[in-house]
This record gives sequence, structure tokens and C-alpha cells, in this order.
Amino acid sequence: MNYSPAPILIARDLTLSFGALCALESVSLEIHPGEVLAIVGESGSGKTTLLNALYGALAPDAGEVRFGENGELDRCVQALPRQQLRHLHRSAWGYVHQNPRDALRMEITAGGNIVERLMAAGERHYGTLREKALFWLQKVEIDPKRIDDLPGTFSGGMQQRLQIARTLISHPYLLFMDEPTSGLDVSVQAGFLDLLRNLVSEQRMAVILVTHDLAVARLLAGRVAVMQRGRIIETGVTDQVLDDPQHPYTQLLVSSVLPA
Amino acid sequence: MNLLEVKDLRKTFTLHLRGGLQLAVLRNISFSVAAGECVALVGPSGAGKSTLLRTIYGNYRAESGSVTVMHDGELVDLTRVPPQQLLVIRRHSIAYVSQFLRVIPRVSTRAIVANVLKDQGVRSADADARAEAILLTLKIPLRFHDLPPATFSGGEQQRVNLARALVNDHPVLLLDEPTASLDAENAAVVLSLIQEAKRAGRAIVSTFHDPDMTARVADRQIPITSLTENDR
Amino acid sequence: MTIYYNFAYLDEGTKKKIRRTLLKAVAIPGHQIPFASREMPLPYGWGTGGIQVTAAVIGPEDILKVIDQGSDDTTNAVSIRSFFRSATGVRTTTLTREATLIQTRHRIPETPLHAGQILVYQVPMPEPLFKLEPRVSETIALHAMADYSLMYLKLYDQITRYGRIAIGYEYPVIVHDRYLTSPSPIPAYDVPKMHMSPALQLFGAGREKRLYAIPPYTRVIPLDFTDYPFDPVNTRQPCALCGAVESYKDEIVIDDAGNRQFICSDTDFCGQRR
Repeated sequence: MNYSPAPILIARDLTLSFGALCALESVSLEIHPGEVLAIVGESGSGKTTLLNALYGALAPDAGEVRFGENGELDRCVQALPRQQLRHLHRSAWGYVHQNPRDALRMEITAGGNIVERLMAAGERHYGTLREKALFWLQKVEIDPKRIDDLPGTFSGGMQQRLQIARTLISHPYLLFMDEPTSGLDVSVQAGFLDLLRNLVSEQRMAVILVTHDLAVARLLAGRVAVMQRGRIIETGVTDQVLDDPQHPYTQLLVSSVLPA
Repeated sequence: MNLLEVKDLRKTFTLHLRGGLQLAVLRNISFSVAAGECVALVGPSGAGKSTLLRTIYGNYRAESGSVTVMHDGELVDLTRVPPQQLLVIRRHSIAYVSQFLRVIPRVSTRAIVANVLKDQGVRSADADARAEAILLTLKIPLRFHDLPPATFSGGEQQRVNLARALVNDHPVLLLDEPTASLDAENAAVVLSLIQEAKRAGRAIVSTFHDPDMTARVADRQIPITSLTENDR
Repeated sequence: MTIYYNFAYLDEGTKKKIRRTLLKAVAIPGHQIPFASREMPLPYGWGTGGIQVTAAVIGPEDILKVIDQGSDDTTNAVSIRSFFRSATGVRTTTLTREATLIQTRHRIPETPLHAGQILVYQVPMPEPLFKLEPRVSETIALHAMADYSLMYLKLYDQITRYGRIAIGYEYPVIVHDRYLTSPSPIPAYDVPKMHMSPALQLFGAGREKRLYAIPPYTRVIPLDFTDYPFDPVNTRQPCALCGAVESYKDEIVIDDAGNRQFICSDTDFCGQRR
């Protein structure tokens, strides 16, 4: 019941410029097993750039991201050969895009989309793949009868659930999410958030969640990091940062939210 | 045995959007609460009772001083632990009931209460059963358990909030006006639950708007006074 | 003025380049190697890749057979055969067992090949992932990482939609336990003949400018699922001309009433049996 002090991912002094624009300036952070960290801030503050640098999709100009599952941060994202990085991305890590169409194969049935990672890992039994697909459809609360339908026939909320199923089927220990709820209608956001919260808690994975929505951060994240102009200006337990913000910019951000 | 010790707690808010205005709220707060004891914070409205509870819970960051809580057989200073550790301690050892219910919309009342247990690793069926039991004790009828609490009355929401804190056995309980929006009958239920928690050896810090409530459950009273200019 | 062409039409420099590429292809079975495909005196799609490979490996002692859809006497087979006869002076044949070099489009002869023979395939699209992943750079990366889950995804969807893997031709195979390879548009029925074949198999894609090879006695395994194994279809109808049951048949409409006949697609095989 005690917290283990060994992080599973550490970023040190990540710096990245796009021409004259400094997108990341000496950003450092740690992720611990099973925790949900929300990265919040306004548009253009560098949230998604940071997420992609941590994930290994963007190479920083300076700094490094180290990771490891068993308390040893023995591997470096930036130094990983492409094949190993791809393997990591398709098994032990997952990435949930804001737009599910960026992740789903629209010409392949829902079931096929869900089990792709299993086939990449070597599963060669069709019956097993079907079973797993049905299991995960139920888990993300999609009618199993839709297993052979194309994703294009699904609503936005269902596509996002499909993306979650497709990603979580390999039981990643670390999930990267880029604004997973902002493309959804308000009417389905709540249900999706609840599903996400339950899955994250049940699967015991760590999540790095980029969101501009402080309410989403409050409901999902244990910790938040506030970004402004490529820097993390404040971090802490989510309710601490949102209810007792210390930095002037965080105070502005929190006070700018319209009450629902 | 003390389950909670507060020493020289100090809290000032700096309002950067008001030109850096400093609001001193807590100064030199020290007290401790033993197992099976309920202490009531008393003082005028605006004196900082809620702020004190939130600072103990770590919702507000203490400026200086310490908040020591019994966690897993050890006394741990909440103002010094890393955030991940604070979250673990909250999950297992210190609970806080605010006056407001903040939950994911459209989630059923039963799930909201049961999730507290599930996050601790309790099996789903057991968690649901315990959630139902505490909700029924707090007089939330079974037919409401499948509904999200958004449409509930203030008093009902308050009791759902209490159910979340009382459903498990955290050694330290912080209650902010637990009876504020309740009628006499429901307030009596809450008081009896507090008595039960005391008998179970839990340490409780509470505020009550009604001196009569304070007298009925509190073993001690801790006066919280508004700070004057001199105190700052 | 008489124009003299070099032996086998291509100049020696070009033939040398193609042979070097073929050596590399043989060294990495199933792996596609780019090459400087030349303009040939026939359009892309008519076998420009196969002709360049044949021209690069043919010698004066070779005996050449050319088939198109199994037949020695369709227009394309006749034209290519006569082209090489005039450009090299080598003997040509229709007998599979007699030929040292066989250029083919869409079939592998029914008569088992033997050691020392070379089978040259005309390949329209060498990249098996082409329809699944449009970016060439990405398919190259997928081959490098031996990540073929995309093709399994296709097989999964086939079973889901049709109840079986309904790939009738150009059935994806893994060569030498490593590279996903297109067998060219031969029927799935012919794929088992590629496995551990004593003959050298060379593949030329002229328009796509790539060559690949399967050396003799190399493992060629069709992709499938353990519970849906590779199971190519062929009619159980005997050939109307020679009575063969096991050979691959063409279905031919024989009159205006829509009556049909099945006859062997391999004309040499069928003729030998009659």
C-alpha cells in the first residue's frame, strides 16, 4: 500500500525549437507506475510537442527520455533503434489520438482494428483473435454485434472507444493521450471519461494525458503539470494545483474557466 | 495514540491577479487528534476552518508547519511527501468530505461510492455491496443507487459525499460541515455514524454550523479565530 | 542498312548490372532489389521485367520455353519466344522437362521442375503490402522490421467477410522464414510448388524496377491462421481433354447457351497426356 519511489519514465531537460519558436525549454518530469499525469495549458503552450517528445515521435534538440519497467531506467527513447521503438509503441506503450481516425484503419472491420496488436505480437489463431475482439468490445461498451462493421459506420464516441480497445489490448503499462475527449460531443464525454477512469484504474497503467480541459484533468489525473510557453511552470497533486495555484499563470488559467 | 498531529501550521494566499495581495489565513495552528476522538473546529464564518481542513488534507499547500498522519503504521508528514505518496495516503489513510460533490457526470451513485473501494483494490462485487450498505444507512433509497447524483437534492448529494468517506476505514476523517444541508433526522444518522467511527478508533476533525451538533459528538473544541492585521 | 543487336538484345553492360542485382537477390531470398529497368520493345505490363531477366541470364546453350497463363501458344508467349529466337538464336521448346529456362506469366508448370532449371516470373507488382500501405518508405520499413501484421489483418478480414481466406491468386508467402513476398499473380494452387523447388526462381518487375529471387531448395510458406490453414481452391472436375483431376483448370464457355468446360491451363502437360 506504500508508494514505490521508482519512476518508469524520466525526462531530463527536454529542449526543442521550431526555427525561432522555442516549443520546449528545459522540460523535466517523472512518471511513476500507475499514476495519471495531466499536462495542461493553453493552445500553443507545448503540451502535444512534449507528449510526442516523451513518446519518441519527435526528437528533442537536447535532453533525453529514459524509461524502464522494473525500477531501472536502463533505456533511452532517443537512443532506441527504430525497430525497438516501434515494438515498444505496439506493445508496452500506447498512444491515443485526439482524432480516432488517425489511429483506426477505416477500411478494416472493428474486430480487425482491435486485434492488430495481437497479430503483430504473433497471435495466429483466428478463433482466439475473435474472442479477444469480442471481449474488448464489451469492455469499451460497444455492442459485440458491431464486430464486423467498418469504423466509418460508428459515431465519434464509439470510434474513440474502439481506439481505446485497440490500444489497451496489449496491456500497455504506459499510455499517452492527446486530448482524448475534446473531439467528442459533450453528451458522450462523461461516459467516455468514466470508462477511461475505470480502465486506467483496473489495468493499473500510468497515463500521460494532454488536455486543455481542467475539468478532465481533475476527474482523471492524480497529478498535473502546467505548461506555459514551452516550460512546466507548476506541478503537483491535481486538486492542489487547481484549488491552490501558486504561479501567476496557473492562477489566471484556473480563474479563466467558465463555471458549468 | 495520536493519528493526526498538526504543528505550527501556517497558510497565506498570494493573489497574483490582485497585484500580489497577501491573504493570511492560518497562523500557528497546533493540535492533535487521538484514535477514537472527534475534535470540532469552532470559530466565526470566514475564520479559516475550511481552509484548515483543506490544508491538513493537502488540498491547499501548507506554507510552513507540519501535518503528521498515521499511515501504514507510521507517522508521515503530509507537507513533505512527494505527490504520488500523498495520493497513496489519501487512498488509504486520510479522507476528506467537502461541502461539494465533484464527480464525473452520468456515473451512478453506487459506482461513485464503490469506486473509492475499487481504487484500493477491493473486488467489484464486494465494493458494490459495501457501497449499497452505506448508502442505505445514510437513507439513500435503493432505487436512487443507479442514478447519477446530479439531480439529487443538496442534502442527498451531501450524504453521497459522506458515503464516499465512510465506506472505507481511513484512520483520519476530515468533515467539512457534514450536516449543513441535512434535516434533523438525517443529521442524526450522520452523528450516529460519526459516533460509530469513533468507536472504531478513527480520528475525526469536523466543523459544524450548529453548536448543538458540536456538543453532541465533539470530545474537544479547537477555536479558530480570524486573523487581525497584527497577526500577519 | 542492317542493324545488329547484341546477343539477347540488351548490351553487355546492362546484362552485367542485372546479373549483379540477381546475385544480390539470390543472396537475400524474397527481398526486393531495385534495378535500372530499361525500355524494352514492348509496353509495360507485357513482361518487360521478365524479358530483361531472361535476356540477362540466357546463353547460347539454353533451351527456352515461354508460357502465358500456362499456355505456350497465346499471343504473348508466341511473341516473346520468337523475340528471343531472333535475338539469340537459341532453341525453343514447349516441353517443360526439356527447357533449361522458362519465362512465365501467371502459372508454374504442372510438370515438376528439376535442378538446373531457371523459372523467370513476369511480375506486375512486386510489393505484397502495396494495397495495404501506400507509402513505399513505410513498406520498406515494415520489411526491414519483418512486421507483417498488416497482411494478417487482411487475412483476418477475409475470414470475417467470406468465412475463409479468399485469396485466389498472388497469395502472400514468407520466403526463407524472413521476407513477405509476392509470388506474382500465380494461382494460390501453384504456391506449394515454390516451396523447396529444385529450380532457381527469378522475378522481374519492369515498371516497378525491382528484382527478387528464390534460390533452389528454399522454404516458401503461405501466410495463414492455425485454425484457418492455407487451402487453395481448384475444381474437382476432370479436364475435358485429358481427364486430369489434379491439374489447374481454366473454365471455358463453349457455346452461346453458356455451357462450360474445364480444361488444363498447362497446354504442355495436357498435350503430353493425350
